[in-house]
Amino acid sequence: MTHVGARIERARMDAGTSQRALADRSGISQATLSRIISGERTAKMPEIVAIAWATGRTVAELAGVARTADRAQCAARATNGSDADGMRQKLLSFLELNDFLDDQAIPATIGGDTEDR
Amino acid sequence: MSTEEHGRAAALRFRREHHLGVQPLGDLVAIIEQVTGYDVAVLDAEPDEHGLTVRDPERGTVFIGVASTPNPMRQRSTLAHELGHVLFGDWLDSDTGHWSARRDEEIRADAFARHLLVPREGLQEFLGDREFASEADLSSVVQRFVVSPPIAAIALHGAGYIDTSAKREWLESRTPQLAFRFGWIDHYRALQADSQQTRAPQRLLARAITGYTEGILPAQSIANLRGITAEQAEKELEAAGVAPTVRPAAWSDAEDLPDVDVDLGALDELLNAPDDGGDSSDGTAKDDG
Repeated sequence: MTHVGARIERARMDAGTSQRALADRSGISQATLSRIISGERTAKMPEIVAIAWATGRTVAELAGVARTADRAQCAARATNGSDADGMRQKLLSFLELNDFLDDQAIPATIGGDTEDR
Repeated sequence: MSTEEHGRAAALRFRREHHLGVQPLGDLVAIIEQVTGYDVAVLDAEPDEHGLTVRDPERGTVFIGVASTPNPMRQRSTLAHELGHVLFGDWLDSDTGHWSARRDEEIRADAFARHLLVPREGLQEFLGDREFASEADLSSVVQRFVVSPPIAAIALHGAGYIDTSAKREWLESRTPQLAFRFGWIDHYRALQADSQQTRAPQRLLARAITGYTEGILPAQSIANLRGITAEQAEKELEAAGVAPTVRPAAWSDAEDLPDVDVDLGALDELLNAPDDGGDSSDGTAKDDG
């Protein structure tokens, strides 16, 4: 994942939506969206905000400024040399969403505080 | 202490601390979520991705992920294995990727998983003081504790119910065959349906739904967590009576604002005060002329 466009494309696929539907939902023309995804055009912040809402991701995640992935530590069970990257990406996006909800002061509705071990 | 003993001691401690007794653990996902506060997700994953746990050391957040699979026994042992890693603090930076290199930690987590799922005391309570276990007993242990035949065989051997050659033979047993032969294939099919079902991390999902009602998350975020489409998520949210709170902005004219009495005396005093250098008191520069 090197540029914003690649992250947007991944978010689009994870959301199970087509480029055309994403264009409709974000209000960005399909031609522009396609150029952003291919890396030909730099995404402007209002466009990233609109795409984040349409794909259900955080702005920080799409803009590549989220720090949760850098901080995260892992333990895995995989076989045949798998790096478990698909599962790792999904769990990292949970961490990112959790971080966002912390920042927005959305309280947990069930269970107690997570213990830090 | 050997890694095996380490794993066993930690499993006993975990059961004791969380008042889990020595009985079989039912829905392991819910048990882990409820007693540890860690979120567990069952995810569609690639064939060789069994389980993975991520932790944010700054906020103490832990997410355990396991793959959805038609093999319910393996899913449970993977989940227990991941829990072992969390409890032992077996962390690596998330981009390390060489998960098979840490043999001791893996062996310890495996031992933890076995002893957590089939505690010796629970096995003894179930089988009583019989001297030898039969293959029907193996099947009963597999069904009751919802573990693979190899895990059951190791536990039976550890508790002295079978000898080494029976253990070796039963390590090769397969759950579907046992379930079929001993008449609980329907139960096994139900377990399979359950382990193939994806599950969103419960606490995060509940919190995200609060975020949706507060208007800071779209339905698509809920859809992402549940692995469904935005349209399905919207329908489900609506059916459950969950909708974003509409907070109309209260507009008013500037004239409607109340008169405010502001005392600017202190500010005037400050502006008229002499500068530190003792220059002109009216704030204008002196002409050196």
